[in-house]
Amino acid sequence: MDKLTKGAVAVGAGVVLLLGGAGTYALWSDSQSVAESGEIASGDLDLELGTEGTWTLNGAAVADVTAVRIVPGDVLALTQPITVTAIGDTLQSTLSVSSAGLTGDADLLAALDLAFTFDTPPAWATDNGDGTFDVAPSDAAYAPVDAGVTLTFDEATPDQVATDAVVDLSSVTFSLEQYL
Amino acid sequence: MTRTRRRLLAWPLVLTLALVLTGGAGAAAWWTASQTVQATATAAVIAPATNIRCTTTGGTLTRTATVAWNAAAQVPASYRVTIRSGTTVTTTTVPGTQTQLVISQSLLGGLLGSILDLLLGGAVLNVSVQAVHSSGWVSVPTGTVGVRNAPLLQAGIVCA
Amino acid sequence: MTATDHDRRPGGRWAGGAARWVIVPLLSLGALGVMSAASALWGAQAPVSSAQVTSGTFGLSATWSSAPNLTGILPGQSRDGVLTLQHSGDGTWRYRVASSHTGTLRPTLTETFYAGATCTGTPVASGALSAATLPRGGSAQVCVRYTLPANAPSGLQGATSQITLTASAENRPS
Repeated sequence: MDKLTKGAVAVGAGVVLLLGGAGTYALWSDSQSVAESGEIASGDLDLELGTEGTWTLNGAAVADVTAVRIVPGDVLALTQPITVTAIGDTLQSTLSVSSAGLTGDADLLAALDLAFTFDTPPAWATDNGDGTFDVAPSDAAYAPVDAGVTLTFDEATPDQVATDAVVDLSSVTFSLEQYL
Repeated sequence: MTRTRRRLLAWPLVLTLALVLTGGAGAAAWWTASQTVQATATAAVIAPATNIRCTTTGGTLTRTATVAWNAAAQVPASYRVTIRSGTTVTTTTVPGTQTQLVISQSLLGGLLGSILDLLLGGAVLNVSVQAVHSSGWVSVPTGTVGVRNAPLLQAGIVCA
Repeated sequence: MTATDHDRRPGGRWAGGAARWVIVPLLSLGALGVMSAASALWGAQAPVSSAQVTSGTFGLSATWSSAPNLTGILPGQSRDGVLTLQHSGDGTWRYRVASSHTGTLRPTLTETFYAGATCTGTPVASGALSAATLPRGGSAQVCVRYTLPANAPSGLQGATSQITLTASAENRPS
């Protein structure tokens, strides 16, 4: 390069350096908003009971379940309206009844089978075949549906086993549990 | 994890179903309650004749031995009179209302010739009586009374 | 985070739209906040019932409503007795009557059971289950006839037997 050019470059570099040392320098930038709509909502898992459930013994209505005396072969059934909420695009949950909560006389407990059914299975419940139901997720609470809890007294109970005995349902719960 | 839990939960349901299904046909068991009552049964005992006794009757040459007894507590259908000498036995039946039997040679001859021969040969014949029920059951026999041939200078049957 | 980073967080299936994988961490944190247990998943419970359920009782009493007179039985005679069974408690029931004895008069002294208060009709086998299913709290009568056959041997005079009848009820469905 000839001397004139060298000089011009030197001056230019000096100007650049002087300008850089005195103030800020700027890089290209651009910005866009992340989401078109600004709201993010989380899901919900909830279970509520409707009006107090009604009991039947072998299909016949029962006014007062505490006055009933069950014998082997009897099926005591409770119909309870429940409202299930399972909101979450990828939410997986299971609806069941916890029979471990049944307490009382050991012989009667052994002779009773607690089961959870639906009178008319709703479209959103899939029977797992073991007394539990898979609940399909949605974006709103489901309409109330009649859930059934049945106590079946083993027909083959012998001798005087489990006569005049009491079991308590106070700790038995409907359970809606998320699973992964 | 959840699938395993589902399988574990499924087994009690399967077993319960099996129990419910087979309960009626298989190992049948039911609530049961029981109580006992008692009764004592005894068969009747046929009341016997009692107080058998012998009386010699008739004239010197027409002796007979009259064997009599007290009637049984319940009047039987008949009385069986057994006349025995050793192993030779004969019986005769009298109505249950009758409580005596006259033993004569002709009676004996009519019953069993051999027993008459024994009598004539000097043997003592033993007489006993049993009450006989209409069903055929017989009472225990009375004790025995003996009869024998009349001694010298007499004829007939006399009490021994 | 770059476009090639395939994040497999729960519920966080990879999709276009950057919004998706922002929600996932929020949900996970939210779940942690709800449950304090180790599983850290959502759950909801509701009580089924506060009721107590009681099982019934099941009892039977058996008595001679008409005791048979079995003393001084003679050949050819029959003596009858009537057994009354009374259920107490719950459930429907069927019954059976079985017999055992000691002594020498039985079995020559025969024993026959009939359903009902009179010893007529078809005999019921000893120990056989009743044909009828009876209601809760109901009662039943069984006629028992003892007969000494006409050809019973004379040696059986004065023989005795102690007879025990066992009536049992079974909770059979109607």
